[in-house]
Amino acid sequence: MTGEIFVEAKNLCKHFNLGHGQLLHAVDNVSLQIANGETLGLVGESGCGKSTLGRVLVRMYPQTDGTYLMRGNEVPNQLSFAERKRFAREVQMIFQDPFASLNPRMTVGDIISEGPDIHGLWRASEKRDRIHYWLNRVGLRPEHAARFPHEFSGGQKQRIGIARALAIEPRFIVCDEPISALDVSIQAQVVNLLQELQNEFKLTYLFIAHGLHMVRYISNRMAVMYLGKIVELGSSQDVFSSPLHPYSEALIAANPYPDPEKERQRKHQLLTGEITSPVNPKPGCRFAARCPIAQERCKQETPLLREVQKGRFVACHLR
Amino acid sequence: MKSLTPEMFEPKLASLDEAEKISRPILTYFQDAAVRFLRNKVGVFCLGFLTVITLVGIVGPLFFPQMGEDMAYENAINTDFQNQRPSLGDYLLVTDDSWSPPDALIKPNFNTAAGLLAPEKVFAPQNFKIASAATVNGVTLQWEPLEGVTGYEIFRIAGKKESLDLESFRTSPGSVGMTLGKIEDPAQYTFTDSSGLDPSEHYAYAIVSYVTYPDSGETTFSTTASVLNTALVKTIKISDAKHLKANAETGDTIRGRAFLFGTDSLGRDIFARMVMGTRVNFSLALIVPSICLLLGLIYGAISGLSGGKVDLIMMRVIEVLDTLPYLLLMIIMQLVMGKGVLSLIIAMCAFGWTGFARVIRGEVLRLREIEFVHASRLLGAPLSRLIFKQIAPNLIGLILVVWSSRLPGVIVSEAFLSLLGLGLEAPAASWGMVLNEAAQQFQSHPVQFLLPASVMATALLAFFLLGDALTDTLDPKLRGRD
Amino acid sequence: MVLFRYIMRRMVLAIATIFTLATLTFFLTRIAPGDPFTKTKEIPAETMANLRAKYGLDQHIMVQYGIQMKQIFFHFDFGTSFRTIGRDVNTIIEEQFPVSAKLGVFAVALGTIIGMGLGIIAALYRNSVIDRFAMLLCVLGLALPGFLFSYLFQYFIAVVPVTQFNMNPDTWVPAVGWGTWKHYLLPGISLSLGVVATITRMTRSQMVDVQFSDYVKTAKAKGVSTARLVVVHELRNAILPILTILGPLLVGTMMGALITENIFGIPGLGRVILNAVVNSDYNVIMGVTIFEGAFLVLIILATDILYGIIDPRIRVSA
Repeated sequence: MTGEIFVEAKNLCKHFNLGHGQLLHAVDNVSLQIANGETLGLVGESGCGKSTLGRVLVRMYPQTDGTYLMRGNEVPNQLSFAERKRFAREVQMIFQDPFASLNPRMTVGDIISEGPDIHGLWRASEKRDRIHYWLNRVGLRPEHAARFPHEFSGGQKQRIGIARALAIEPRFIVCDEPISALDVSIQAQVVNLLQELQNEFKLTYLFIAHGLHMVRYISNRMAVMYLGKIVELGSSQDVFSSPLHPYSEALIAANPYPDPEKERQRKHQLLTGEITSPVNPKPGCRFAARCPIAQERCKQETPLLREVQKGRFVACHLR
Repeated sequence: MKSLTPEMFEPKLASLDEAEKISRPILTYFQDAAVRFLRNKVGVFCLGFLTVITLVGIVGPLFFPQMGEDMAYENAINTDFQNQRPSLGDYLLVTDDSWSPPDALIKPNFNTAAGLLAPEKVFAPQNFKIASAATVNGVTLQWEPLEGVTGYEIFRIAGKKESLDLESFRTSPGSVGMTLGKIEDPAQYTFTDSSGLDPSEHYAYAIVSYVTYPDSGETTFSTTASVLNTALVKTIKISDAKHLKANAETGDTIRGRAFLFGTDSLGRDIFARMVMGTRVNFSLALIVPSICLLLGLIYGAISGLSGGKVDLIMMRVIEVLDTLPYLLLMIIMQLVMGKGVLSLIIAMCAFGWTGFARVIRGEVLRLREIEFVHASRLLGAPLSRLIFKQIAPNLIGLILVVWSSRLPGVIVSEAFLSLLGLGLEAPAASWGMVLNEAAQQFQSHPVQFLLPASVMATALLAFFLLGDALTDTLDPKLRGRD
Repeated sequence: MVLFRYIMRRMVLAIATIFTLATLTFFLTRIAPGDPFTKTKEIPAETMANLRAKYGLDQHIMVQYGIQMKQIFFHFDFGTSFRTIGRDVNTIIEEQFPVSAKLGVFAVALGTIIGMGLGIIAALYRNSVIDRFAMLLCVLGLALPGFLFSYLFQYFIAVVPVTQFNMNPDTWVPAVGWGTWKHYLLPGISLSLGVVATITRMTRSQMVDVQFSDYVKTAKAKGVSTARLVVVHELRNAILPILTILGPLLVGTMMGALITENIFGIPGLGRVILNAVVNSDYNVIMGVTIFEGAFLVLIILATDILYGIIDPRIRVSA
């Protein structure tokens, strides 16, 4: 990892109070850094807290505990509308659900120009051109500006979402499962687009997804989350080819090979056991109940994320 | 089969744009909804129908004074025209207070000292006819008195002209008809019937003579009767007649007003009252849901946007209000505030807003969490922008649907209160008032009730189906699946 | 435990509602112009003062409020009617309420049975003649108020046959009155139309929804017969929502029956209310309103509890 640190999270926690003393530890003690211009991939199964982490980083939620620094400055927990405006020029989000992320009553042009309108970035005379520019840039046509979201396909909607996020020229974009709702062929197109834009505009990405191949393709480094905690962190290449944490192993092993022959020959490892609940969790490794190599110590003591090799972090007593 | 070679197959390279080309014209949300609505034939028909009624209500009295206030309210109370059946205008005889039919009664010569007739000589008196005109105020009969009888009896039957059995009436009037009177003076040559004359009925009269022999005490009646039948001529006072025809004079026959729905017990034109009532009812139907909407919108939006404790308390309040027996409370409120339009509006709005509040709160809660609102927030949008540009436009469809579903309820509530004796102050006209008055005459003159009730029923159906059509257009999820 | 808390919450709400109703009614009736005595004749000032003192109307409004509330909630005593001397409001309610209740229950029961039957048939034979007829009936029943049908039925079924077609009034359906099973027919049926419409629509849409659900498709694929399918699978789904609205439906029907009762001369609460309104009889109005209101609240409470027992999701969200 090189370059200036753009985003830093130290012991970030996000807990939800469910009432009656039930506390849901959605994000528990997460520490990570994202360098300027890099893409950090974040993977994990559904419910592991990756989306929540993403939302905390865009300040859709305040964090419950820990520190969140952006370019060395602490991001306030509750943003006033003025602070929110400043923050918006730094961080934007691309949403998972293309259908719900665009206001059906607004034209595409309005959607894209909303940010610049709020921040006064464009002069009235150049507005139309700018909208056309962005439409072209994401692979759509200028005449689409007057149309409504419901007239577009899922992939096109995501492109509009990307254009919207980029139009106010942010530095850091949290991509919250941007391709999960799309067909595979379209997924590739959108991911390629994201990469192009990153190169052109020098963007920093947090790429949240559960499709491992795509994450590996687009990310420099990769973090694996399980039940609110980061269990492994390292370069995508390393994590993918030689995972250290037993959960990462299982996750990557579960990823099917595109070649049916090879896939059939592969050894399949199944995880058995109950999933620990993220509500009022007891101390000990969260993965212990399903871990094939779990020992007594794992059930008593929570493992911390520690650097075992240069740039590689694991949260396991045994690795 | 022809052999296929590779050269026959050229890949058609589709450009990315072509693959996802859009070729429909651009429509805004509302234009799209309007197009969809127009395809719904039932909805369009109902809308058209209701528009026609509204126009009649507004414009009718302006162009046709007979639909207007004059005919609906106090000025129209006219005892001459009570309980008329629907008609296009009867022919009326112009009279004034002092007018009486030309005197056709000629007192005949009569010998009172003549002896009693023998039984086989007892005949019904001759020349049985009506003296001048038979009007609603009285039918004056005259005949040639018979010398040698003790007296006469007069009978009457009434009904539709075709159904009067005049033959039986002639041969046995006593069994077929009603006895009007027994005349014990053989010299009497006239009789006036004024009991319960209904201008819609046809009347027949029969007269028989009878002789009572003092020694035997027996009475012999004439074997047959003299019979006549007549319809009643309606009259109109000269002062009223002048409104219809400026140069009318007493004794003229003119055509009276058309009463499309007839008249009520006070003589007022029911159709006119319904037309004027349309103004009242439709105004209420527009005003009341709108007020409820406004109140509910504010309450629901605040509740939904606030969340947390505030939301909880506000919803509990609504729960309590919803469980109150609003009908009874409406009654009490009308009682407290007295009758009248304002009190009616207040009574109906007092509890009608909770439904709106609930629905709007639900939608606001949903919209609060929806991604495009978050995206807008993330872009730095201020609260006003979030509310007015993001949330509000998405509420419009729902608002319209709920609002339109409340229209018929207002009309029903107004009728309900009026039928209980509350509602508006007499002599105002509303559909409910018309029904209430007609209901009191229901047994004797059912048409007075049935026609206005049909109008109201049709309007209610139209509102209802219109609401369904709007729901289908704007938010098909709300309807049951078909 | 969750269930207990849920029940407690509903009960507290119920009590709060009834109390609010009583307070609201009290103050509303006191604001009303006119008092129960001067409606028919002029009363000399002294007698007036005595009357007012007798009924406790001369005391400060809050004192009256306190006394009334105490009487109602601790002794369940609604006082005496001002108009009809010596008649307890409680007695009036006791006598007249069962009449309205019986009529209401009859109408709702009849409507539910017919409604469910019609809804099932309509769902099974969608878009057939029966279905369209049922939908038409629903539109009529939902759009048109019950009293309209009451007038029509009374005239065309009870009166016209007797006057125009010489039916024997003693053996035919009576036009007014109460007492025999025949007296239930016209008012009951006219009131039940609204119920039929609501229930038919509900049943039909529930059944149709269920028909599309996966587990029914599975059952059909397994070869389960149509009859068993309908009864066991689909119906069970449809019944629950109907159960939950039965209570409010009953009370709604009873309230809407006010006019119907007056049309048919039925000695129920409708007549009581009407007279009390005309005569500004405070105690009676209060008593009936609070009673009917409490009745509604209790029915809703019972329904909520029942539903809470059956469907665990409700306990958590409410």
